[in-house]
Amino acid sequence: MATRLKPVDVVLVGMGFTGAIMARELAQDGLSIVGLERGGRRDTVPDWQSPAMHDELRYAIRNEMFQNVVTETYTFRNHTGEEALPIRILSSFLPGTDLGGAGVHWNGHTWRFLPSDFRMRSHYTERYGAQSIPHEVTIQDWGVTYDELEPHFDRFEYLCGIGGKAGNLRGQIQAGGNPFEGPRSREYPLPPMDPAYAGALFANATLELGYTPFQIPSANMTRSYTNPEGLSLQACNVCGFCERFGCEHFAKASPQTVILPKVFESPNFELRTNAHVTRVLLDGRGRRATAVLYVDGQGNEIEQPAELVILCAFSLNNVKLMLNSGIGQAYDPATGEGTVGRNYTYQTMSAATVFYPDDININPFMGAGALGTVIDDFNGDNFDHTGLGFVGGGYISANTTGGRPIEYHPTPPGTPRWGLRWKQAVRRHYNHTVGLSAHGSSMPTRGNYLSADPTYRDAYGQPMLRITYDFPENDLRMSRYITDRMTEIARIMGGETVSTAYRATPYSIVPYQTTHNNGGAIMGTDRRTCAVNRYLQSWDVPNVFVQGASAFPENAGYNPTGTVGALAYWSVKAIREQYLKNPGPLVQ
Amino acid sequence: MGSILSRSLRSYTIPGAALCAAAFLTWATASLGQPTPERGQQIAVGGGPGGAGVACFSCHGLQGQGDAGAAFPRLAGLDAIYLAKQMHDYASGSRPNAAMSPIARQLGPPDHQSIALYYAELPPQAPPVRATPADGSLVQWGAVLYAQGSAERGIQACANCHGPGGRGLNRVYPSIAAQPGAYVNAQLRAWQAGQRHNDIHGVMGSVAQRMTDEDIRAVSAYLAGLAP
Repeated sequence: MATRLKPVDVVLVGMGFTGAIMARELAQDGLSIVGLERGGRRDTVPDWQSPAMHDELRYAIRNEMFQNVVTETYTFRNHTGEEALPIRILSSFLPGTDLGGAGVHWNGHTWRFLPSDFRMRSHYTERYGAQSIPHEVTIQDWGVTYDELEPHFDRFEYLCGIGGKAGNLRGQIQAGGNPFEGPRSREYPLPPMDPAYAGALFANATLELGYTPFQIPSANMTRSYTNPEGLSLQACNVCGFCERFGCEHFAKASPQTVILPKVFESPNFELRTNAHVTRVLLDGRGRRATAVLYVDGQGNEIEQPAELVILCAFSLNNVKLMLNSGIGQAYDPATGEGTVGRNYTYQTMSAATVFYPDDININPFMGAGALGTVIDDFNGDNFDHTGLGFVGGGYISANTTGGRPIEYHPTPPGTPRWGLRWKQAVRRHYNHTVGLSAHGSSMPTRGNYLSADPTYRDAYGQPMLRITYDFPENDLRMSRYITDRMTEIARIMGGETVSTAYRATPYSIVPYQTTHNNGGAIMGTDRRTCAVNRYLQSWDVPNVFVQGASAFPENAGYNPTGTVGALAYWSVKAIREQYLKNPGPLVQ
Repeated sequence: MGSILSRSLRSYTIPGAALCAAAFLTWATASLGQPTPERGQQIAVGGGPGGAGVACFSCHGLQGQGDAGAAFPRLAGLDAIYLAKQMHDYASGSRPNAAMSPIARQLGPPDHQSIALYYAELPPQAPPVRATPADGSLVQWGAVLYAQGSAERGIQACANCHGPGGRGLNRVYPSIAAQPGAYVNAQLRAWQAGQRHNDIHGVMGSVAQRMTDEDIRAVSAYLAGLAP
């Protein structure tokens, strides 16, 4: 029997970036707020200090910062004809855990999706006609526009001290930035990162082909910075330990560095760590959330009643909670009916590698998570799609994120996988290789979805989340197209040889690709196809809001965090200005 | 490699981005006359164009070991590129110092390099004269700041850049072990006041501004007691 606690106004499930933003904003309305975090508490000092932090084996290989698959994992299959099996070792994607969530171990790429990305079906229909959208693709508009989100993108970027160069200031194209981006109301808070040598080589080749290179917008600080919350960060020293690591320098935007200290100043906010939420409890009619049920660090089951429940867990775990709690109708790919679990998307990655003579020193270890030079000429609808047979695109970049020795040992095709010749090749190529990547969009289809697994349960007795996914034909065509463009660039970068790795089916959960898992609780204007409305409010249970990339109807060719942050500020503004005054559905 | 690098720096520049590395490289290339450690030794022992009165050894010691009594830093065993950059910065004013700036201005870049090469090759050793031993709790607090930082003040651990035991990471992050306490103290105050501003993106100034007087005394005392 669960212990029932005193009711509070708001319960936040998950204390990563979106949970921290919710807590900070709603605390200003004097609400009593409880933040439930399944993991432990941690902070820059003392948890992430070097040299212990620079332990590649512990953090990057043994997954210290990620969801513990012994207690909770996902099952996976490529299509409905297969039996899904539990993922025993995380590798294709790496959901974070503990305070700060994945906002601690991310790289820091901070993009805005394109204006056309938010109205994808309308955009392609208007420009190319409805027949241009492949039949299998279930893209839709988001119900929110870029212009509506712009102030919230801006707010998140200033919160995080993003370093970049505007390419479009209030409609005026700016030299040095991304000319394809939507109009910004003002410059980035900090200047862009200094280019690495790999980035400069890439930039020269793209200039030769008539493209427009620029530096990736970065949450690795390029200068000392004090954000609007009054919290100070320090300049990145390009140590090369961002992705999969916490930052020891106060140089990467994370909930801990940009917002949580302010949250903890609020007397009406309470953080509870080691609180694993298993379900949201609903009233008898299933129309109202009454409480959340969680298991604390001692194994006690606790019921925390609340007026408002906001799911701020990782996208996959938000969907799992909705399915296991009965919030909304589960999606059924056979009938196409139901919303929860619909339109699960990923990211379509591919790579090219340029091998240089041994007098060209790349120094890959001088890196940072978001240190990269990029072109956006082949992203979204920045290029003419007439006759191409696909929707979407992706950016192409040369990133220098750190040449860590266990993970990074590029060798040319034909090199043995082990033994003396492999060792010789690693020694020859380690410091003389540049990797390019194409970061492609991901379009939803009827058969790619999330559901409650009928067989496997986690350590808390809850059905695991089942992922059914393979790369759609649309995305393979898109990826082949942009990978060919990437290879053309690679060939004129001055190397001896170039190798290209195209994206192919079947999708495998084994090699790391990205932790950009999206959809499953998508936003939009139609309650028959979307789990949440344009304010991220559940259509079916209006006192539940669902934050994060689970709301993306489809995934653009960008990293999601900037858009996740903007949606969080957009959503919480509606909660504060509309919902709290008149609790109920914000959209009829 | 030179041609590719210069091509890349010429064509790909980003407005608003300070290409510190590029500027440093250009300077380093321009200053490569024929610097040699032998020439460095001549200047260190006999003074250069400024005469014997400004010979390095008269303050920094014959072995480059520094002088703890007078806050003159150890030079022996420090990285050559780091040392040469400091001479350059003394001359340019980004690291102003009443004694060193005039000396550095009298010497050209090749001599800066020569001095740096000479001292980099000397075996590191602690200054022979130690300041009055600091009290134990102060040293202990210095060690905590060095290895772990301060959550309250948002100070990251010194060790993150300067390495365990103050050994440094060559080229950018100098070895600071066994530097005289008074020297480290004076440098942190110079960073704090913005007088010294010759690092990348102002990290040291930002760190020093978060440090209290006691923090500065503590870290200085801790570093002075380390083996070089």
